[in-house]
Amino acid sequence: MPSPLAQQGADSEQHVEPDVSNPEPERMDMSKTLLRMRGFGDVSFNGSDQKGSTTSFSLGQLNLFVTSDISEKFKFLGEIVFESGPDNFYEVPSGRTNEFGVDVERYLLQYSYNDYFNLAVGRYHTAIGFYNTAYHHSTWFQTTTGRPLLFQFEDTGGILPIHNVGVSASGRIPSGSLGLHYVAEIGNGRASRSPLQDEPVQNEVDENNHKAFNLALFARPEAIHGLQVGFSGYHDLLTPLAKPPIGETILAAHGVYMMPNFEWLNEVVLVRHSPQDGSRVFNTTGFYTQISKRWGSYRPYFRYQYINAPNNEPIFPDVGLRAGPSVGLRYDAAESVALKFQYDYNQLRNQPGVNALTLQLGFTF
Amino acid sequence: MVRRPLFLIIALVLVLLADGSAQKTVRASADVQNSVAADESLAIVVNQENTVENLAMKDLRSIFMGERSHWPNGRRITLVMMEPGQVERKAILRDIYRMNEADFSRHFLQGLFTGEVFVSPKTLASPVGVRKFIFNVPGAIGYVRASDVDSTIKVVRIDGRLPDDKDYQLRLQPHNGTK
Repeated sequence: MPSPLAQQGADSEQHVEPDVSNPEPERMDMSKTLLRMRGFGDVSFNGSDQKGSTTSFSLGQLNLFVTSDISEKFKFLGEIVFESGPDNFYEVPSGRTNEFGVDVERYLLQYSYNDYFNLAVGRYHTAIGFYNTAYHHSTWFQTTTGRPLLFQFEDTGGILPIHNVGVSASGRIPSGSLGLHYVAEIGNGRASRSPLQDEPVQNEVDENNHKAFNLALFARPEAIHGLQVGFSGYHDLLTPLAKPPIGETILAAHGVYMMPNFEWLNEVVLVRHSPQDGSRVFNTTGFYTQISKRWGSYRPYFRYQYINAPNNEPIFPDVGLRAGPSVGLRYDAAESVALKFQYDYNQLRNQPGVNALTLQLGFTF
Repeated sequence: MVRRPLFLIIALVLVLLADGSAQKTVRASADVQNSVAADESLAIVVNQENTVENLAMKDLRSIFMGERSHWPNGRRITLVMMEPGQVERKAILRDIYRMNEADFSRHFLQGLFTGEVFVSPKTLASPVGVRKFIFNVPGAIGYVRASDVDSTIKVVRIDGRLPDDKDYQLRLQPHNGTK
């Protein structure tokens, strides 16, 4: 008597009657919608030699990541973040120190038609570069204690439109072993700083009718598993009060190599602000490189980062020059708990450099 | 006064020893079972309605990594894994993922987090559960030992080979030390 396997080998070439000697398996109820939740958090102890700073224990973001399979094609994804401390837009704090607030950082209804076309509507992380869509609001995923300066969130003084509200399409591009992918986004973009607003992400009302759009292309070649190279172009129009509108163009390129035991991240960004009254154009450049290798539970790392904004930059004149190295060690105490120790040096324009130390416990639950 | 705690400690040690001995027996039994099945192949199985007959190893890896989320007919792929610790799962982690359990968990958590992986793998405890799930879900793909295959599920060729074929790559134990 032939084995079921041998029989199936024949089945693949010619159709035969099913094995009636085998009773039909029980049917299952597959119509349930399941809500899943995963959490991320961190607690740090940090200090620096910056004038006026104190050593402090700090609660990081408490992130509740929620997904739900609504149907075979639709899915909900959300990131609800509780965080303490005042927001800090362009170094202007708002809110009370030490008080917790809630932000809905991602809020997306996703539609997956096939591998080549996926659509998401809601609030998402803009596909500028690599880091912003790789780590979102989890410090546990990140090798280091925090995001590179380039990819700081808007409410901690970041210069990029990290979040956007609108529509995002993404998918693979038929390209064989080259592994090309695209992301195309259109949304409200980021508010200009005038008047200074509580929330730079335009969740409900856009300050103008011009929509921000972003196009990203990247490749994951089959020949080098773990390699991703890509670039993106973003454009928006900012309309500050009592000033001419300002065109904002952001060009980004990245080359990253990510394997479980080794990572090397490299990104460069150019932010170009061009007031429409024909005066000069302001270019802000930035890059970072980060390398790490894992030995067992230990992962030493190094990062060098750089941002240089003109002093009279119309949107973020307070940024100036920020550059310097970071070195640290990540120790994975358990599968879901990481202890990180990091030293940072930050060189500033016309100010003394700042040395900082951070000890952080990051976890997922 | 001293006798009571001493008695309790002795009792505790005896309980632990007995437990360890029982665990050893279970482990020994599992080892025998595993060694008997050492050369057995793992079949990649799909729903009977699935029209896919053959997958290249690189495409299979892409599916298992969550990089491909749809079959050519547009149906969503649902990946079925067996529970951690199962011999079949260890073989899949070794030969397809080339990862350990921790890296596997992190890979899918990060994939879901970034939105690149549309759904996380379904984890089931037994081959019977895997068969039942795949029978019920048209887009499902999973794995069972070749001896656990029955007519309710369909075996997919990998690089043109079936589990009975000589050069079939997916086995419970590394094939001739090549892995």
